[in-house]
Amino acid sequence: MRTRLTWAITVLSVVLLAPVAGAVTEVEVQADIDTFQGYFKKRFPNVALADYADGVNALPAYSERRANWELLMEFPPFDPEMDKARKEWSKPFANGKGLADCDLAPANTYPVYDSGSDDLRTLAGDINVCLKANGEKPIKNVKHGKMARLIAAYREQFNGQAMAVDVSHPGARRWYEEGRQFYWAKRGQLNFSCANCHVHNAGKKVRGDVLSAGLGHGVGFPVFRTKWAVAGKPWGTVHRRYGGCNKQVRANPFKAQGREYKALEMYEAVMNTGVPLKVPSQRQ
Amino acid sequence: MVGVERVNLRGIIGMVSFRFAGTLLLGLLLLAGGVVSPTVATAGEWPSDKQCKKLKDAGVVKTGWCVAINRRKGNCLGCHMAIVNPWPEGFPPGGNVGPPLVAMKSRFESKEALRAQIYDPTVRNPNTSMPPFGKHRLLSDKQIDQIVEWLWTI
Repeated sequence: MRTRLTWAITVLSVVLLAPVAGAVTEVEVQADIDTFQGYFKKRFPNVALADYADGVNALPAYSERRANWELLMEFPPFDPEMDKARKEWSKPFANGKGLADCDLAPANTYPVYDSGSDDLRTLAGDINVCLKANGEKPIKNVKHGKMARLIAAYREQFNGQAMAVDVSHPGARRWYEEGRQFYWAKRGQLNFSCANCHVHNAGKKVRGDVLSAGLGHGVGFPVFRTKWAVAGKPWGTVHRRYGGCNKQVRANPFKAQGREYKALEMYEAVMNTGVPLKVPSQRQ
Repeated sequence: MVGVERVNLRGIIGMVSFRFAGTLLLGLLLLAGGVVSPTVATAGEWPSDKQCKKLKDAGVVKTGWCVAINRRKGNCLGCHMAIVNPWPEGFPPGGNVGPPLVAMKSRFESKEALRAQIYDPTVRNPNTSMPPFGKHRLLSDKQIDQIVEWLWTI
């Protein structure tokens, strides 16, 4: 009885103290990246790291449909929308300044850890901070529409640059660890973790659809999605997609730009280290 | 002829790992071609999703098939191919996340074992991708029983 109690206390204290003592080391994060990317290299030996920017289109199981996608990309359906996005991006504020004057981090380095607030800065968050600071109205909807277009207009300027998120601060690594736990934990009535589909079963077919690889998730965002275009809201930020994914496993979605999805974005961004940005992208 | 095939298959199943058993069987069945008439033939034609909605008194096996293929119920074809003959015309094939649904009697020692696997597959493999259909109330006990009755015929 006594040993059992001691054991329980040990387990409990490890569980309770872990987030405080927290922070995985940088070496551990690098090992996670190597394991994650190594897994996909073994699973899809002919897919180069940079190819994962094309999402599911890069996977062998998608090869039959790849020709269609390439044809579509000759006259991408998002072109007129991108013109609109670039116009919105360069429209000056009332004070004469513009979004180009905002204090934004390079797109391939988001999310950025802010030690002062122990918070993660995302691009959507930073754009709204800048709008506010310049007397402009922040954008409420951070899932689709104008915010997605502005993100696209900024991120496309960094196309080809490899993802490189800074995890040197222990605080950044605590966010990373939170996202890692989210990614690998089962949730929802269907009991799926992100990893169940996008790691263990990446490239396999769910009916006619191919499950995308977790590697590369997010580098093409915001995406112009055929499924969303039908409903009149073609653009989606990565947090919109997270919410959709959670609903598909019959879990309650979390709030876009809320803590859970920011942490998840951190984990995915770190796993993508070295994958070049390719924005915007078209997806089914 | 059919009987001989079955005995041989069972022997092979014992030797190969469970995971590949379904695929192997599928291959052998295909090799055997028209010679082996699948046991499901007795159940007659398999209704499509739409036809299922109009079915009345279909019997437990067909009802089980209907529960299994319904996207809001079992949605088994989301992840599994099911080997039934003839395949409903124009009906999309299943996914390949899980092993093909074929020769279930050779893969599960009893209906109860098969039922338990559908009810909560995490008992056998905590990290399985298969949802716990009974435990999470995705299907009622009765619906699971119906699916088992269907699966036991293929």
